[in-house]
Amino acid sequence: MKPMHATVAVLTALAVWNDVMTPLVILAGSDQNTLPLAQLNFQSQFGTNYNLAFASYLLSLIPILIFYIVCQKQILNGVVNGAVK
Amino acid sequence: MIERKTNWPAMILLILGLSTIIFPLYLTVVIAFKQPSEMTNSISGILSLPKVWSFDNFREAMRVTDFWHSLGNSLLITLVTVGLSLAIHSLMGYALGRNKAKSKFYSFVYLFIVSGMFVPFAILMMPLAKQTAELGLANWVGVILLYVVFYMPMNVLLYSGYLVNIPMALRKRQRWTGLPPGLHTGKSFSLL
Repeated sequence: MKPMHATVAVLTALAVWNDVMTPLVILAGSDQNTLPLAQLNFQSQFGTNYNLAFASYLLSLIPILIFYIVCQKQILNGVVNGAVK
Repeated sequence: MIERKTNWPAMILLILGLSTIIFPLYLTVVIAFKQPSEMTNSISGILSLPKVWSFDNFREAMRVTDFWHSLGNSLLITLVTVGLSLAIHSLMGYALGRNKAKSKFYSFVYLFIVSGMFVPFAILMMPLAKQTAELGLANWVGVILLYVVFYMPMNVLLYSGYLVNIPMALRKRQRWTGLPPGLHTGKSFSLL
């Protein structure tokens, strides 16, 4: 079950982490901004300040990258187990 | 020693594919470190390395987006959604994957859930926004609930597809080891 759990976790986490639409519709106006929602500010507040926006994108990339690397190891482990059995 | 031959067509394809990822990533990193004044309207202004590698942009970006607060919300929503998905969807996938070949009811439920993949979010958006607001779910709890439902079709499809393949492997194992069925179920559960 481990490789499948890891696959599902990666797919779901990636989709949820990067999603803008659902938080935008549901959370708009509350003070519970998610990261993509906070990053929308760069488009209006500063015109086109790509420097700040890209710095922010890089920062928000780190946690999901770590999560992906951890899960990817599980997927590879599962493949190896199956081959040995 | 194994003689290693380079597979040139595959190599060229991989390099082409990699460059489509490396180039935007390079731009992102370089632009993130530059000052706005360095972004002139020429190609060299965009592609060149920054003059000074300073983290001022990152500090400012963290202030503008209220980074730690937003990160906390993002992490909370993502982790709870993933945890709930793994728990609920794997159980659903198990039940549906094991029974849908034998039972009409289960195969109907399976098709019903999986057909949820074809509903675009844009259609649901307006009614959902109204409903969540009226139910008092216009917070992270509502977002998590919606995510668990939205990713259910995909995850159930993955889990049940994976579980359909397991019984065959286990039956083979039973033939090899020749264990009595009672002992075998214990073994197969430890395998899962």
